[in-house]
Amino acid sequence: MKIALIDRDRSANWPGSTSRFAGLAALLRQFGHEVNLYDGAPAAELRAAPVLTGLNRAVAAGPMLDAYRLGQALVIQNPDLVVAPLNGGLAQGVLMARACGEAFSSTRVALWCDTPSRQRFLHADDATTGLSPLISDALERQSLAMADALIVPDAIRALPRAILSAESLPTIEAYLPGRPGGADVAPKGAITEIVFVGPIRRGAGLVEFVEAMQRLASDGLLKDRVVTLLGPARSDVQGIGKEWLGMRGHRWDFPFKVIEAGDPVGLSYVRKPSRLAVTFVDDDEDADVIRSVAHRVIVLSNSSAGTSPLVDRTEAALRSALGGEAIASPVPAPPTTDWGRLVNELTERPFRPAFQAPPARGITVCIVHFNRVMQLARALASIPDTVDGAPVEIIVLDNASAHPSIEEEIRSQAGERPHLRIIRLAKAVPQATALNMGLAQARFETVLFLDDDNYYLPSGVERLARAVANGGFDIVVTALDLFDDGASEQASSTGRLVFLGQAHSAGLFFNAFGDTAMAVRRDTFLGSGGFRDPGYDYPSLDWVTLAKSQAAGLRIGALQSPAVRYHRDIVRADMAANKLDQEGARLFVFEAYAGSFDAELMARYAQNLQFEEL
Amino acid sequence: MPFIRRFGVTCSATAIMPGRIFADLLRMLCRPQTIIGCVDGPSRGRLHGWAFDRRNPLQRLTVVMQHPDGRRLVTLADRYRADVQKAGIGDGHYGFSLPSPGMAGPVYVMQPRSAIALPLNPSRPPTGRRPQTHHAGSYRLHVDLLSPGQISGWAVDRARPELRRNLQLYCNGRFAGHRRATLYRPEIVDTQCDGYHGFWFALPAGELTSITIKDVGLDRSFVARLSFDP
Repeated sequence: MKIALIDRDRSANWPGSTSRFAGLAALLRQFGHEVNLYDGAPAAELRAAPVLTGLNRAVAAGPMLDAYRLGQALVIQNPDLVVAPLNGGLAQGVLMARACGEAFSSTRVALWCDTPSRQRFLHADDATTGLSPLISDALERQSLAMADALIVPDAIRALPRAILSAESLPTIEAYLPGRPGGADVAPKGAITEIVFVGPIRRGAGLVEFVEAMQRLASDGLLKDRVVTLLGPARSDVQGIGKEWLGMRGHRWDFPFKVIEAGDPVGLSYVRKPSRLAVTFVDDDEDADVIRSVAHRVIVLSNSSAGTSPLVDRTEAALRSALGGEAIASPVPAPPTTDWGRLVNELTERPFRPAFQAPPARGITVCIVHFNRVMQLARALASIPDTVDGAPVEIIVLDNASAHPSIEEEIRSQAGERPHLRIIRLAKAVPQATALNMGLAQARFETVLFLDDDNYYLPSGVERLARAVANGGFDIVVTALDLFDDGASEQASSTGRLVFLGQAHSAGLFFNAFGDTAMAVRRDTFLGSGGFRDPGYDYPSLDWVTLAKSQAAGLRIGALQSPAVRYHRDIVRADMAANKLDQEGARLFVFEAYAGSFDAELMARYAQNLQFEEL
Repeated sequence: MPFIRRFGVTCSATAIMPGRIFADLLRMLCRPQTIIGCVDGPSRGRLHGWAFDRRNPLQRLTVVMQHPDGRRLVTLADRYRADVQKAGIGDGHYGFSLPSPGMAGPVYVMQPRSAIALPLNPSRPPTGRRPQTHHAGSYRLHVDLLSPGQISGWAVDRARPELRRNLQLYCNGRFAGHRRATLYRPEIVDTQCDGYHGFWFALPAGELTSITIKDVGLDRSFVARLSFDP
């Protein structure tokens, strides 16, 4: 069996962190499986045309790009089973490609349940102002909606209910083999130094640790002991950092020192047996790198659900350790998991998401045209007459082109097309009105839309329609292959613009949903009101309409491989009133959401942004 | 690359210079070749530019603008710039944009132990040609941008500024487009003009030998043949 074990880059927790699945990989190889370990997504290939997002930012869009690149990389391996962490949503590219019928038709995907980005973002004090947590949240929600199983690595870990959709997702309790422990032999001798290990910030437990130290000091337990803070510290911040530490430190009557280190060499400081390391983690596996080094280590979970406050737990654990008692593990020794049986069980599970009856055969492609006959001819030539023996109807809505005999001109350029219908509008109407007219005129239940200066890649029509039919989606958008030279037949690719489909709360801020080059289930889409049409042209019709569709509960898929070549006209776009009106776009999108975003996530994001105004 | 091979000297540099000075010198000499970029200038209240580390194309650099009022504005240069990508520079995600409602200050790329000043874009304005103004009585047609792919300027009859000029563009003698000159140009606002007199045309691809703008307004017509060095 081919198995891909994927871990996210966990160096943010502590540099030197290794894959959580290394031990599992060794075990599964002993069973004869072909196992590949992936440490995050492969790096971008700079020689290739870049992968772009509507956000236009490399770092904030990182989770989206990582999930996409990983999906593309795994296509070649075509594994039977993928295990990937929930946090970061790395599996989304694989799951979306599978749901859209592009790849991975026999691949099962199980998520390793770790702390979702949402939870980390809500409770971190030094979160970035970028959108990456919101993008990760969208990827994680999608992954939960499409994965086949959720592996919960300990019984007390809470399920990510806040981002779990109503559809049931099978959960399996299982534990990783080969986790590093502390020293084999408990060290003897006194503890002369207590070392906080981790970033100097609230989310890493620093404040609770400091409070616990003060309590211990007041009872004389820190006499003849040094307190060390080992980890990277920020400065010039209005939060927990060097300045804060200095202000708090003036009250401490115990000796302390700060070692600014954030690398494996710095971590070796805790190797000395007389030093007791204390660390705070979201997921127990995050402490593995410290366990592998320290002789004495206390690992505390940041999650306090159902237990006493973290500061009390910290104090109790420290009193116990300083009193000479054995350091208790934060969780009891896990039972052994029969991974040989478990992977077989996973590969026999039914695929998710649930099946939705496909639409009736036949496809309608709708193109709104205005004064671009040569480009329209190229678009028409890219549409087949039939797909799988079923007819492909083409509706061209001419939006009052200047040419006096435009219909004849289009027919002349299109050649012999049995299912071509041309609807000429004497007076120009807004784009949304024209698109809704085309939708209403469509004979078939699967309706595709295309701009007149774009065109389909080979099998593009077929792949979009198949994704609607097989994926259980109401709308399917596609990655776009960009070209800049509108006139050329063979214009080279200048990039690939990728989308999420269901963008969740991240879609409030940029168009992560998709372009109008999409396929819809006609009746469902019409039922939700079709394209948003206020009666005049407005900015970002695609963004607004897809946001509205998401709010109406429609499921939106996204082809990972481009089905459409998209004409990008940078110079003209810079001079288009609708492109300039980004404020208007956001207002329309906000209204389209109708409150269907994660309010807590938004509020926290706004708080972080407001910091720049202090 | 070893110091000796790079600079062709045979003495030991480290033996005659303190280590810190040597390191500073080496860093200074290396700077222009590793960090590249520029400040393009302001647009719509923001200052734009890009910065790129040739040694590490996947690294996104941090840039700082020292505002004249004392504020330091910090941002990440990771915005996608199609023009930078098309110039063959990595994946194009090296742009930055800083709020700059008033005067902008110098912009630096932050490095671990240094700050590298970014130069102003030498090609701005990208015309490389002098602005041209054509007169006819109270009528003015001004062209201030003529670059591959686009031409822009403004046209106004100061006697009747409320009549927006209807312009036709001809390239190599062929009709290439028409547009009413209504784009906002703050630099021509005065007691007579409200500033909504700007125009912009996309120029066709290929070699251009002549460019003509015809004003075909109802009240009077005017032809401007632009001086043009192909």
